[in-house]
Amino acid sequence: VDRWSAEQVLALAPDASSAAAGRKQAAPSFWSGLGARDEPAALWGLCQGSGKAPYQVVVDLTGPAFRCSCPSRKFPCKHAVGLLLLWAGGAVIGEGSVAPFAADWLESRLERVEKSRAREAAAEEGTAGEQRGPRDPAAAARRASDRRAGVSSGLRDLENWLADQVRSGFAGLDRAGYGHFDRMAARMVDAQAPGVASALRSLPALLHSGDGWHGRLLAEFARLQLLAKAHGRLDALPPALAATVRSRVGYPVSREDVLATPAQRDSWAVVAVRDRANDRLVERRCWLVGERNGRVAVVLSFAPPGRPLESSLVPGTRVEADLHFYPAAVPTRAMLGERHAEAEPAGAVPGIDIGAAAGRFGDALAADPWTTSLPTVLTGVQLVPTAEAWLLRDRSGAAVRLLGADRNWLLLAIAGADAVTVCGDWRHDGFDVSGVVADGEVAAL
Amino acid sequence: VSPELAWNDLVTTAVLGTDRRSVEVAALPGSVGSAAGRLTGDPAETLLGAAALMLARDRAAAMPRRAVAAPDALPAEELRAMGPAAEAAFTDALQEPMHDLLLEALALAARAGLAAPRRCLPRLLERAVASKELRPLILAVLGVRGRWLAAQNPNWTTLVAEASAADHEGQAGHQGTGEPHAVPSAEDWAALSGPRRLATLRAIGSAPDAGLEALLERALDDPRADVRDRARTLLARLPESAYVGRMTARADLLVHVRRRLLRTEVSLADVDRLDQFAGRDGIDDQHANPPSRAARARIERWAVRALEITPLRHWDERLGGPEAALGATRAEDRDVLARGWLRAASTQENQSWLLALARIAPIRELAIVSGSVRRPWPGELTSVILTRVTSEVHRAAQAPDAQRKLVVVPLNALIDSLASNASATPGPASSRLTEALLGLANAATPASPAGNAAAGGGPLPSDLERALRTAHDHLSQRVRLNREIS
Repeated sequence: VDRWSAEQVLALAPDASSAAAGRKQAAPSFWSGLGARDEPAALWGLCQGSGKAPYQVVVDLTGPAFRCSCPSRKFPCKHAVGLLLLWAGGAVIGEGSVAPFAADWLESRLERVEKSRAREAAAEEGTAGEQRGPRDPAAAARRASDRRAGVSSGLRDLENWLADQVRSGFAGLDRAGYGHFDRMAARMVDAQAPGVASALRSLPALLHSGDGWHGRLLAEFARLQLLAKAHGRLDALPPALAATVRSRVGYPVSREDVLATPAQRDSWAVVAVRDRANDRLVERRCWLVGERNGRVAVVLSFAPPGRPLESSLVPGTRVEADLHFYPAAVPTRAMLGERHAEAEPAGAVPGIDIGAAAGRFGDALAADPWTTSLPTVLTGVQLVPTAEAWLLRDRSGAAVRLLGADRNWLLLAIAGADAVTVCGDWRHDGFDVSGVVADGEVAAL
Repeated sequence: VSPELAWNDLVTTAVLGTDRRSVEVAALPGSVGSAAGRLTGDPAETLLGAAALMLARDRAAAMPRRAVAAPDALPAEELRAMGPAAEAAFTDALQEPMHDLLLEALALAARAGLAAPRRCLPRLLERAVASKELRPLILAVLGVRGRWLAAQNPNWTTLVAEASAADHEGQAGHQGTGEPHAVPSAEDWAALSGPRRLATLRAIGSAPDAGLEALLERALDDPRADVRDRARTLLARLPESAYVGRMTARADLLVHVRRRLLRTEVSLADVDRLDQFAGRDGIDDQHANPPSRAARARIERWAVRALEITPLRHWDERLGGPEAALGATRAEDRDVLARGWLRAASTQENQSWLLALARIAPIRELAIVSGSVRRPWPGELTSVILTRVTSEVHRAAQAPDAQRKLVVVPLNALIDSLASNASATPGPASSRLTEALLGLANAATPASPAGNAAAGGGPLPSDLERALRTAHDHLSQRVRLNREIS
């Protein structure tokens, strides 16, 4: 296999302090018993840590997957990051027979991969046979219609519940407690409408968001009712809008269905990456901009806390590749398909001005009334910190409010008073910056 | 009806409940009214439908603000920008919670006239607010952009004021160097307040004029302890002063020199009291309590203090140079006398004594003093200390646990001093020293065969190993900083 770049390795680190710790571990003096295997690719070594016995570190490069005997709960731990950095930095690691401490685990990895390949092969055969197995189309259609019926009945309950709230009034809802919303959310989980369930769960926080919460709650209720009504007329909707409704309700979309959509080939620049931890999963969002069509896409990946996230998209690089967009009235979420070339430095990134972005957001709302944010790249904008609000201003003097106050100072330090390109989400109340291109350099915030 | 009022009307109805208040959705402004008029269902459902329509319309129709004035451009940067490798090394140093690496990174950047990386500026400013120690160095690498940034944040504005005040003071001090320092007359001195007297002595600096002796001697009777301390420190730097003379006399009393037929023997004298002015001169433990076994300890303290202030020239004359002096000293007294002489050699910057003492002084004492010896060290001193560290590592490896524990901390401090010195030493000498230190630290890694050999074949005890690895860790970061930021 090709050696990875240091950036690729560091993108695997669960956080900045792990990256720094990993860099420290990348000194050859910490390591002994280093070894590598080309096919299937793996690395291993003994790292002297603070303990008496050196840690046994193994990396399966095909996964990638990691194993280390240290007690760290970070994943990959600094030793694995250090080993990868050492390798990425061109350290000479002799190929040879697999060290005993690495052999068992690598063997078990191989078995697991083979088993899952065998399962996939069996599943495909089942489809080809068309008689038996899990891919029976009649059974699949039955399951789909059962699910639809379950969701419909759940959403009818939701409509009644929403109407009840409005009938008796919001006054006092802020004292009703979480249970009031949680019970309805649980009903939505049972009805297999997880998208609606998580929207309901976010409402109690809204009740304590200060003055004007009544209006914000009405807005959320109205959007939910509109979603329930739209689901009731799913078959009458244009296919793209129906796909939007289904995805907002929380119907799953299979990888195959996304990859079956026409490929959008372009030279995609990675302009920003942001990780956000939920209770059970870490979500990584990568913002990509197409050099030729100017399209902005978001690629999401998920991993349990401490597990490695998608790391092939490195901020500040661009890659000639196919993207497949999830079917939607306003397609923004995408999946990475075939890559046609190696990644290279990003260079200039195309963007639009503030007037055009506002217009685009209007168009998106017209096509998908549930739109809350639209991934957008603004170009030629300057930061204007004012006492009332921080603004982004374009060359025409049009301006938009900047959201996300915690990153504002970092953004101001990087951009100064220069006209820069920023990437992020256009929202109805402002712009949430996630990355900035200043002096030709991309910085994720 | 404006859209805003219409929306507020919908919200009011939702708050009170459609059971109590009705709303005419068909009367909503513009296209929303006509669309809402076609909604069916009970009033609650109609209200929610109308709200969804208004929301989508308002959000889709929102116009950006107009005619916002452009911000003023920043003045050109005065400092040079770092390259990518330097930025990475600097950013890593900023990640460390401890100050020392960041201090070094800042000092290197300031010396090279480099600006801190832009994306580090907010965190540097936070650190500058939190730490007085880091503040002046951080202010030096902020550059035009950093100061501009600080000026806009209420938490940071005071830093900028401090920076310009420091600049101003620096210039004033610079202009003032030509003029002699104004010495207050005796009457003036008596009239000064305590804090003013202290400030006056502090302003004298590290090289007092012999003409100040009378004033300083008088300050030894000052009611304030800090004034007395400062006066003693200054008097110690006047080799011809009466104060230094008194200390020299006490040293002669405490250090017994016996000239035998073939050789001289130097030992600690058994003294049970000092002259009546000893307390005034800063030897304060005349009446220190521990009575029995403490007699010896008290003599040792007296001797170290007296030796520290006695000019080393005095011993050159009496004993014939450092080697002769140390060679003549009785074995059981050697550590104590070496300690006193080492402190004297450091403050008096006497290279021949420093060199001789570095070879034999107790490792703990060497560790303390090495931090205050002016850097860069002469090459010979560096190599002597490196040899000491190497042999101490090997000795400590064989020592029993209890003894080793006493050595690990000073050893670490000494390695740290060496490492700082490596950074301060210019040219190839620096990289040779760095390599030697890395080799020493690497010797702690059992994985390296050379390490095992260096440690005498066996694995190193874990505490020593950890100490060396920490030193190694710091050193490799330091080497990286020095390589990248210059």
